[in-house]
Amino acid sequence: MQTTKNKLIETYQKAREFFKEEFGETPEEYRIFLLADEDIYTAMSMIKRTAASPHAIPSSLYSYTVKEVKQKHGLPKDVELVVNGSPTLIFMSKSFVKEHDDNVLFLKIVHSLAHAFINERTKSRYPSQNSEIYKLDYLQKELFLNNVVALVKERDAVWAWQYFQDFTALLRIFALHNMAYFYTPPPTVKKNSVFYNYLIEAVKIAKKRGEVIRKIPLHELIVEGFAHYIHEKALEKVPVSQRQSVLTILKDIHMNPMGIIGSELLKIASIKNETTVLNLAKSYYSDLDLLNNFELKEIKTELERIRVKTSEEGIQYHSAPASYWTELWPLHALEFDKVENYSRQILRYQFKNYNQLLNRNPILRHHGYVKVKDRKIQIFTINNDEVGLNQHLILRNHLLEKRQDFITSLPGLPDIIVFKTSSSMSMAQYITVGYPRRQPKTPYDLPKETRAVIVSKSVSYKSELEETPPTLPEEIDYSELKDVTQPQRNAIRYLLRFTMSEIPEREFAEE
Amino acid sequence: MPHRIKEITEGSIPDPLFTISGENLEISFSDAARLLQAWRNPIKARGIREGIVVSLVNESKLAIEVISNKLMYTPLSREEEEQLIDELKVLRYMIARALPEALELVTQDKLITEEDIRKFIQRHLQSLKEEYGEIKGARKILNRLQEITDLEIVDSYGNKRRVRKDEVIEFLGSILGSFLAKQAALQPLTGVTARPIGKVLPIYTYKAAAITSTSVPPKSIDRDDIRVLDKDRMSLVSLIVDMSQSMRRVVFEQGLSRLDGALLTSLGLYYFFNRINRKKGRLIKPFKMAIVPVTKTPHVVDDNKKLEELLLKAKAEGRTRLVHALIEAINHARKQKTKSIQAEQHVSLIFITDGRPNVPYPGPLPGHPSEGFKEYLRKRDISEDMKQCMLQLNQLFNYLKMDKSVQWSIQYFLIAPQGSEKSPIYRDTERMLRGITQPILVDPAKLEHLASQIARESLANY
Repeated sequence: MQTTKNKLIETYQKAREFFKEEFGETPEEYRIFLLADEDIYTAMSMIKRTAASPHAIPSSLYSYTVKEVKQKHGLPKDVELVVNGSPTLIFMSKSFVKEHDDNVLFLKIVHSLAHAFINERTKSRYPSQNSEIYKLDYLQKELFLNNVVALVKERDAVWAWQYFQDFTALLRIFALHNMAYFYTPPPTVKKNSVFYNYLIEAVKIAKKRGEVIRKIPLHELIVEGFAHYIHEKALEKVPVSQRQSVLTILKDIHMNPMGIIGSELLKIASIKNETTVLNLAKSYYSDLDLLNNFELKEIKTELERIRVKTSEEGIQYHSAPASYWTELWPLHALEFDKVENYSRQILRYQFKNYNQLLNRNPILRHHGYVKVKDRKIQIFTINNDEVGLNQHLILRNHLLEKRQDFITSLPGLPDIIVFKTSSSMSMAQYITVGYPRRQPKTPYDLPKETRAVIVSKSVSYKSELEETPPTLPEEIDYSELKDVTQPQRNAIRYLLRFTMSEIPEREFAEE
Repeated sequence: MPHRIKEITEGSIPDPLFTISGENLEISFSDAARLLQAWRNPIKARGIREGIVVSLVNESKLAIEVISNKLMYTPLSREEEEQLIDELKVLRYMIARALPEALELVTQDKLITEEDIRKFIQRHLQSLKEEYGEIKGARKILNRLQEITDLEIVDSYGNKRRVRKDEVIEFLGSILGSFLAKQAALQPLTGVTARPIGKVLPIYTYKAAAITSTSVPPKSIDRDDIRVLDKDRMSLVSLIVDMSQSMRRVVFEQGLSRLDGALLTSLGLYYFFNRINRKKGRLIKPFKMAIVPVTKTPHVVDDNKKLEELLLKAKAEGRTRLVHALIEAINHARKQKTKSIQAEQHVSLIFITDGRPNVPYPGPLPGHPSEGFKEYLRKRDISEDMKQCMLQLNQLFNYLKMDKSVQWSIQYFLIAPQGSEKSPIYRDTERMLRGITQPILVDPAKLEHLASQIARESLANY
């Protein structure tokens, strides 16, 4: 009986043959990882989706939520996982190889190898930068596992796992926006413990990662487009009678909007430039070079055409007679909207790298702070699913005004308010921390209070239960607050009513 | 280039979702007090409820993304597709309509009780039906909104647990009870089999011998057959808890009051003694516990339902009716007829107060106050009511001391900071209790030790 490994090797060689026939050469710089544990494969896909690299350390909130969702609804299975680097890393799950027939496997491997093929030949720095991010994340993970596990075991500090997991995840998110300066500890902390060395290293890696990711060229349209173009060519090798069943399984490849749009644009551009798709794709430094072949109006028309074509194809391949295509297509259309928006923004503002795109659509903004008496309340907008109330505590613990004070993970500094938009719901979340009466056992051991309100409605809130509603502090200094809307300002005012008051001294009872 | 195959271990690519978390919650007294406060006072739990809505938003948002991706990119059967499309509709409805409204209502304290949430879910089920028609499984997903009324406890190590509102007392009681049991375990409860001591129980011994022996009646009784009472007295522990206005004072972080401390102490002890009673092999329940709150109309709380009501509704208000409460406790103790075997009765009257009594009992009382104490009070510059109350208490204590039908023991815990021995309250109390017992000072900031102190004293007395 054919083993999974043999089956994979045979199909893999067939896929290499395909490249040889098609281009006269084959991809060489790649690694294929066959993962025995399907759950790890799925989890890595999820992390890559949210953090751009499968080895990034997710926040504890994200890990928890993914596990909850997995239990209740299940996660997407066998979605392609390729790290476009130098070398290109291709991940496959053993169960996928085992379950599906040669045609499916052939198309899947060809699609993955197409990434490697273009990554090896492109002039863009995209693959090398991507590899750098992958390496930094891997390094961060190794450091985390070695140091935090040691801390957990040696000091029996189980809390440290969650705390430093969140700490590392937040560093990564903040570094994206060049805001990791909040965490910069002075070199003198090295004297305190080996563990602080880890913190210094973690900050360094996060900052480096931030720099690399900001500089990374926007190149996804070209890579995915080229891979899709190759996929279409490889599909011709599959007998027509079998295409339906094969494509039903390979939805992730065949219906990937980035691939579809990229491939169509590459084909049109190649006609315009009278050259091959490969020559064109490898000559481009970023997606902008590809999109510059089109006028803004033209791109709109082309994208509309591609959308209609895909919808029709979708009905043919991904909609069984009694399927729910009318329900499914809007989901695809939403993804098309995202790619369309991405393409139009690049073309309109001539964006070349991720930093330019991120600056236009920031997920994280610092609005300065407000002051109530001597208390500072830092105001942020964080639209990232990895950041929740528990993560705000870490943020708050490490927000340092005076860097030389960074000798412990517990500086009692400002409270924070975070604005977050989820779907149509815009919330303001507040965490305020009182002064601990004794030495806290862990960073979680703090007297804290959290609140959350809907931003647009906070003006009208009042509770009938409250006999004496909390009053607004007399003096709120808004002078350092910037770029907030009036409803956001109202939400801040509402939340500040709950600023933790000083705890009265103990007294002796007379009655 | 020929391919090369290298096998790597799981360690090279670890599970990215792997986490280490604490197995058990390590709840401190102030954590427990915060949970109790949140359970007692909906306003205090507002932040928790809002946090739960926020986490439901997070989860729904990720679920929508995951389900969409699954529908778009994973091969599915028609049934699976149908189910996921339905789930997607409900989750979208939740995030667009139900959750924003829920957060609004929670902030306004309009979504507190189970009834509130039941109506809320019902209303949204109806509205969902109008919008999308009948959806299978909609109720199951929307029922997750019930979690909004849950309470959440986080220990000092960041471990979190959600507790259903109707299970809070059971949860806190069992944690505090087992915590006390660990602390009190230093005092051995039983010492039985090897060399049986204590009162021999003939009937049970006879039955045991009949079972092990080959003949009825048994020819002989072996040492192993001897059954003794592992505790030959019944202890009634009456906790007289001050709930006057002064108990409102804040003693811990985050506004936790003396009352919270006293209530938790009562709850912990109640579960602790229940736990001892449940010990396997006991023939009688050695402890009974009653709580007598010092309120306008003192009453005895001696079952789960009454305890829950007391914990929910207790307020620190009014004056200190210690004499009334003591009389109630004495009457209750007298009513307790020992139904079981030869057990004697022992009653511990334990006072938890932070001041002096100030409402005299109007009727006649048995016993006589001590002359020395009368003389002492004559010189004191305090209100007449207070003087009369203290005399009445002294009179009752003297009476109990003389009463031989029941063995009474009195412990008097005075909540006051360390070094208050020279304060007038302490001196008056000490004088009132002279010849009976000594007042024990409990630092308000260390109320968490009160329960273990009482538990130990009660066990030592048995």
